Amino acid sequence: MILFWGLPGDSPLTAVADILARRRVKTAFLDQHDSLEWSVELSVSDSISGYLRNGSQSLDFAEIKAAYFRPYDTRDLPGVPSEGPGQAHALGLGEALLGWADITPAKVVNRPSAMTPNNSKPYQSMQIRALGFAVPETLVTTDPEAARKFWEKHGTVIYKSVSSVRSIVSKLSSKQAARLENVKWCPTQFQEHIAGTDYRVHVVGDKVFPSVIESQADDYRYACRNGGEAKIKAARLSREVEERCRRLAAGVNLPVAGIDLRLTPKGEWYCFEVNPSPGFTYYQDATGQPIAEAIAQYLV
Amino acid sequence: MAGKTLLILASANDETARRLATLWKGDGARLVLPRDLSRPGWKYQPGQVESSVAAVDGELIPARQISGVLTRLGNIAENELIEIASGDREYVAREMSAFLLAWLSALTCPMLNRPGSICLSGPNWRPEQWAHAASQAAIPVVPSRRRVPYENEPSPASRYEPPVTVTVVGKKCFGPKDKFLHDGARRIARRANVELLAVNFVGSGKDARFLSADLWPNISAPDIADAVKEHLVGRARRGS
Repeated sequence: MILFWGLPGDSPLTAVADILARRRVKTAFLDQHDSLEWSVELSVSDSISGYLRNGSQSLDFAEIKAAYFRPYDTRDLPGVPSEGPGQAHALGLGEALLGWADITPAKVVNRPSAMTPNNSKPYQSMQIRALGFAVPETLVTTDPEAARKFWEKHGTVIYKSVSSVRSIVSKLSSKQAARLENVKWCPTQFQEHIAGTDYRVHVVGDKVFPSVIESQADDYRYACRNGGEAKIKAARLSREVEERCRRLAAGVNLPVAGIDLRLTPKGEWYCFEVNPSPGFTYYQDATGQPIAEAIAQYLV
Repeated sequence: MAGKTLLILASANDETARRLATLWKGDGARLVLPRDLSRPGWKYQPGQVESSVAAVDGELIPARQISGVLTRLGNIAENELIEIASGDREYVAREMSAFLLAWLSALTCPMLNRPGSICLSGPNWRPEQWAHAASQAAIPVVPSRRRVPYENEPSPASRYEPPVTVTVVGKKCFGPKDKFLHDGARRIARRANVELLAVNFVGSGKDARFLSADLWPNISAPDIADAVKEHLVGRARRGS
């Protein structure tokens, strides 16, 4: 049986679940909205055992051969109380599932411990560099003068969050020069701007699905906000770069990964991030690449 | 060690950390509090940690001057950041934690403990993961059980066994003089890739079973505190 955990409106999750349902593969979907209706018991000693139950289903952990988890923060879910036994129940269910996901011999997309490096971008950048990709020169600082010198050195610099809190990647402009004093309050991440063409490469096991993005925006994910656009097309990579992407995903223990690359005019490949829970349907819809199918095959 | 600084990264409420910073002043000990991350001077470029700088209580400390780090925090808590506007504290705390994770991971000086991928003091394992690790290390385990919702079922009748704790500091163990417990505690610490760990067992000798582990053991006892300092500063002196 294959277990899905998240929200029914989550398109990557439902895309894969739908494929498996059509193939009559035995699956179960644990809807986070229904967290309070589920009970769990998880016991770990020299074996892992237990069950998940609601009014109509009982799922034995031993029967789960694969899992695809894309949970949202339980505390943000409507229907989950903000405190008290209800919240404790929902959070406890989540903890049980995440704890199981890290130790089970079943296939998991993706194991929680493999996803956590993404919570610190400079930390992950060192993993990326060690696994064969160039990374932009980066400064994290609370020193306004160091930030100015870095800016002078590189001419064009972008700033973005250090953690996994979603931020819009933006170029530093003269309007912000006076605000550089504010970095004293919080370590702030600056990176040399790498000019080039954006690629998003989805890796599923040993399958590689590259796409190229055409956009004038600093951060193509938010191009529409400023009246711009982002066109995504299927792309081809050299075997060498494909292999580097496979090695990177495997090296960070992510059987499913969304790798953000940029190709410079001189032909250098830079990697900005390895997304451990990629929203691949955005790219699949644009390119027709069978990413959901690949994940479904991986899980079976 | 002339000119060297031993950093103790701790909460402002950590009295043990304060005491150790005073006790170890002669070895260059300095307390680093969450509010220090809101001071000008921190600098880190991934790949160039040797040129990084910490800002501690108004003083800039280059990385090459740091002899060791004792980390007594899992992450930066937003309630420590009283100088930050309340609406921004959660974000700032996460940014500070992410920065420290990267910087501490890159430092090559002795450290207790080296960060995990999300926790500044090692792997932030759940009880299930500790039990699994102990089992994988061939140590008998008291089953870790999680039940949601918790149902107030009567426990099976059994004799209560108070846990015994072994504290691992590098190669040393503190606690009952029990070869099996010491060996088991070291094996679990190795599995977790940490060198400072309290491991709780029930039973003794060959009948001992792993119960739980704690990345923040009580290090206030003089012999354990001395071992921690020796591990950090002594290794730096020997260049290891």
